[in-house]
Amino acid sequence: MECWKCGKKAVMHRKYEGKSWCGDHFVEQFESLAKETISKEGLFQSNEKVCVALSGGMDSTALLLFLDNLFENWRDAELIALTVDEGIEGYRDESIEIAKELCKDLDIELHIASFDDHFGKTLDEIMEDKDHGCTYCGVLRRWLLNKKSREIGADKLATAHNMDDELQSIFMNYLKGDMKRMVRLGAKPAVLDREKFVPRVKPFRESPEREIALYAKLKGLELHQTECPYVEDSLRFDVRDFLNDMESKRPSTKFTALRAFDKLLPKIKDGFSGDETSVRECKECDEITSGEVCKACQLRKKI
Amino acid sequence: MPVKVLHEDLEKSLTAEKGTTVEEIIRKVGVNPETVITEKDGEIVSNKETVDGDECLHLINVVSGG
Repeated sequence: MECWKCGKKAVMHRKYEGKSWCGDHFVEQFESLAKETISKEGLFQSNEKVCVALSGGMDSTALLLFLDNLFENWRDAELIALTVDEGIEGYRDESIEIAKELCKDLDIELHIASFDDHFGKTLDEIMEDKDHGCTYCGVLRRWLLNKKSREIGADKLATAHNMDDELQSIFMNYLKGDMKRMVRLGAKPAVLDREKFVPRVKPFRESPEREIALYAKLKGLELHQTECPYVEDSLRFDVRDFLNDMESKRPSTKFTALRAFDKLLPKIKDGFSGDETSVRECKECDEITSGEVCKACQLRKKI
Repeated sequence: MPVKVLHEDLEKSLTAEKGTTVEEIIRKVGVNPETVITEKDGEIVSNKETVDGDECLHLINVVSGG
């Protein structure tokens, strides 16, 4: 199979567009799509300090490499990285080494924030007498990413959420009837409070997970393949499998679904975003929350 | 025509007609082509690539596992 642009051997055939791509042209097109997302959504401004949430997995290492390359030509933009060490032996320690190595190679300042330092326990210790590791991990990790990125002076927190992640969240919120959360999705989610909340941006939101992996591989990045030991059967995984089955049977399903959501979002935003003035500071940790006490503090009491 | 497939910790050997596509082989071993990228004898190939026999396909998982 040959690249439709140059006739070289193809590394990817996209059924949804009916074209095959060689490595060089695939990389060029992949980067051009991410740049388009950045420009279309206005994800970055000049003079900003952008912090990449770097787990060491394939998506976030690919994002850091891509942004490092992009920012080379941007004056006054600064790129730093933040890794959360949840304390998962045999899993996170491996990916942290990948993150450290990449930041060293790219000469990017890396900050590491650990559960142990901030919550007094590693996730392994928290889970000794509990189930549902993803709940604890997700809530505490998001809390820490926001707090730490703000403390290190980041103007934006760039996450490597991809098209698959975004669609899973859309479908999950729809299935759970959680419209408030649904309208918070998008490449540049709503800014609640600039003082406390570091705005999050998703430059890879329009790229399928499979294509990010290919990009990472073609760029010579090490793919961290170990599965988290706390992965559990969840609604997210059911939705993920459903979407992959649909895409396999009916190519372009994912694209159509994301485009449809993007058309719908501005129309439903006003109706469901709720009263943003209800956002307040958690009375225990001062981070923002919509209730009296934030979810992270509620969970902290249980650990 | 023999083809060897490596996926996660498993190694599967199967027979396939010459000209069978990588995608058909991925499906044959029960994997969704949307969830992997494939190396043929160490080189990344598209799902439309065909096999000629005595080759080894390595399926690399791309879906997040947590």
